[in-house]
Parts: sequence; C-alpha cells; structure tokens
Amino acid sequence: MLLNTVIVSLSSILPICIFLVLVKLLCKESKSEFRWVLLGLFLGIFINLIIINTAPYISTWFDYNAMEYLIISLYCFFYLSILNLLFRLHQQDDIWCVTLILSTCFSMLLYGNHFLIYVIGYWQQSYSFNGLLIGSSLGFGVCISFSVLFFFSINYLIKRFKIITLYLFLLLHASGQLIPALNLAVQVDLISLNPPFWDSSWLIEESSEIGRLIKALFGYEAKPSLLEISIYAFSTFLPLTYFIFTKGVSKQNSIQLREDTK
Amino acid sequence: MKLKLKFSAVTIAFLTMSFNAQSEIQEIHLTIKDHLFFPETLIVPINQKIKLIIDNQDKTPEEFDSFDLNREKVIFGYSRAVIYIGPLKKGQYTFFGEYAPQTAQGKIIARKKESQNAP
Repeated sequence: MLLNTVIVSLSSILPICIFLVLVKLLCKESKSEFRWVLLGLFLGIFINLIIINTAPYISTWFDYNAMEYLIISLYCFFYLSILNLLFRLHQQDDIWCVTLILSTCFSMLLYGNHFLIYVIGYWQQSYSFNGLLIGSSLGFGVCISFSVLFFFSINYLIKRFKIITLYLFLLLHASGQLIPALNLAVQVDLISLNPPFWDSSWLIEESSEIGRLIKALFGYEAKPSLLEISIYAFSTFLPLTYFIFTKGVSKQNSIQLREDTK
Repeated sequence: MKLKLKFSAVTIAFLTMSFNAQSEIQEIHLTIKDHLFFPETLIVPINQKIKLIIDNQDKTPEEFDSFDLNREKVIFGYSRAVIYIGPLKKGQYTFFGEYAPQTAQGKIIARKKESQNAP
C-alpha cells in the first residue's frame, strides 16, 4: 500500500507540479500575479470533489463512456487554454487571467482526479490509512523537490536562451496532453489508430521512473502511431514557429521605429 | 509536385484516423473481486476489435491499466466499465489494477479464432 501510494501520488501530482512551475515562470516573466493560479488550484479541487461524488453515476452514461468524453474535452481545453495564455501573454487583460485560472483548474481536474479517487476510495479501509498518509507525504515530498530543481533549471535556461525556452516547454507539455486524449478516443471506439510507428520501450519503458517523468513532462509514448506523432509535432511546432516569427517581426518593427525616430 | 507530395502525406496521416462505424464486436467480461481479476487470462482472437466489459465487485475503486494495450480506466466500486481493445497482433498483453498492482494482475493472449477463453 505504501509503495503503491507513492507511485499513484507521483504519477498524479508530478504533472500538476510541472505545470505550476511553468506557469509560475510565465507569471514571473510577464510580471503578473500568481494568485490567479492558486485560485484555479482551489477551484480545481472543488470541482474534482463534485465530479468524484457524481462520477459513479455519470460514468454509466453513453454506454459507460461518459467519463472518457469528459476527459477528452478537458485535455483539448487544457491545450487551447495554454495556447491562449501564450498568445495573449503581453496583453495581460481579464481574458488572460480567466485563462490562467481555467488552465490550472483543467490541470487539477485531469491529474488530481486520479489521486483523489484513490485516496477517497481507500482511506476508509482500516488497513490502508497509515500507508496512504506516509505514501502521500513521500510522494508530495518528491514532487516538491523535483519542482524546485525544475524551476531553477528552466529559469537558468530562460536566462541563457530567452523566453522562447519557456514557450517550448509549455507547448511540449500542452501537446503531450493531446496524446492521452487520442488514446481515450480509441478506448471508447471513437477513432482507430494505426499500429505503432516505432517502439522505444527497449530504451525507455513507459512504466519506468524515467518513462513516467518524461510522460509527465512531454507526454512520452513508447509506441506512438503516425497520427499521434503528426498531431504532437503539429500542435507544438506550428505555434512555436508563429511565436518565433512574430517575435522576430516585432523586434524588426521596434528597430525600424527607433531608426525612424532618429 | 512537392506540394502534391506534402498534401498526400498529410492526407495519409489523417486517413489513418477513421471514425468508426458501429458493427458487431465481440464482448468479453472481466470481473474484479477482492482486488483480483477473474479470469486472470483472457484469450481473444487476433485482428479483431473486442469490447471488454469490466465489473468491479469490490467496494473500492480500481484502475484498469495496461502499458501494452495503451489503456487506462478508473472503475468505481460496485460499478462497470467498457473498454475497446484491438485489433491485436498475435501475442501476450499484460494488464494490472493500478490501485492494487501486487494482486490485480492479468493478461490477454491474442490467438487465432478457434481458441476459447481460459477458465
């Protein structure tokens, strides 16, 4: 029970921590307030508790596939909200703040859900209380340690290679969320995927520690199909190219403006 | 010419995703009881889509998880879940309950159609 709780808490809390670190850096770079993220976090926990209480009933809808449809929508909204955060980064208006709250809430709903179901489901069992408590604390501890390390590493990379590094990490993290959405669509027989395009499980297994870490960071799949690879590449590099291009354009404009004023 | 090739590549990539029409799909039942899967081994035909119906007869929730099949689904206590798997190539695919991985373990063996489910 102890070891399993550590694994469950790690796989659930780590993606939230990664997202929080990236968003914290985004707030730092854009000089906006982090309190919106905390609001989103509490909102996410609250909605999660409502979903968990109603999930046994909701999950029977649409031939027992309702939860998958809900989670697929959440994954897509999460990606779109991160795109919106990046697109409107320099506007800092109300829409940006609402998007910040929503994206945090989506992250909490997508990953916190598993952990809360596990804890709520097992904490009433007399044999598991101590294991849950110690295991969760250990899991939290590891996640917090990793977050601190991750924060300073990305902060260093931003200083070294500019803010585009943060854009890249956020886009990779967001695009990684579209892959489980595709797998869920296959799981409910909504779409079909071709056989795996490659198999890298000989190198890094998804179930290994490294596999779980890079899955939380970038949505690693050991056996991705061609469609998964295409969507991942498209959803990451198209917006990234746009950001690089527009940043270059705005830089050129500012140089031109300075020359004109001279 | 290059544009045509690129367009064809994109089209092929997206044609790999097809929206599925409802057809006759074989159903296979799996039960979770006392944090164990019954039957532990499921034998399914190769190259065929399967509807896996999982009944959780425990009070506690369980998560059906399989890295081999790329499937993950939470099944609440005293509840049921449906997962579509396949078409599978010949071979063995393991699955486990993420909330009780020491006990809840099982495997799916994909074979030619004559085979039946193990007891």
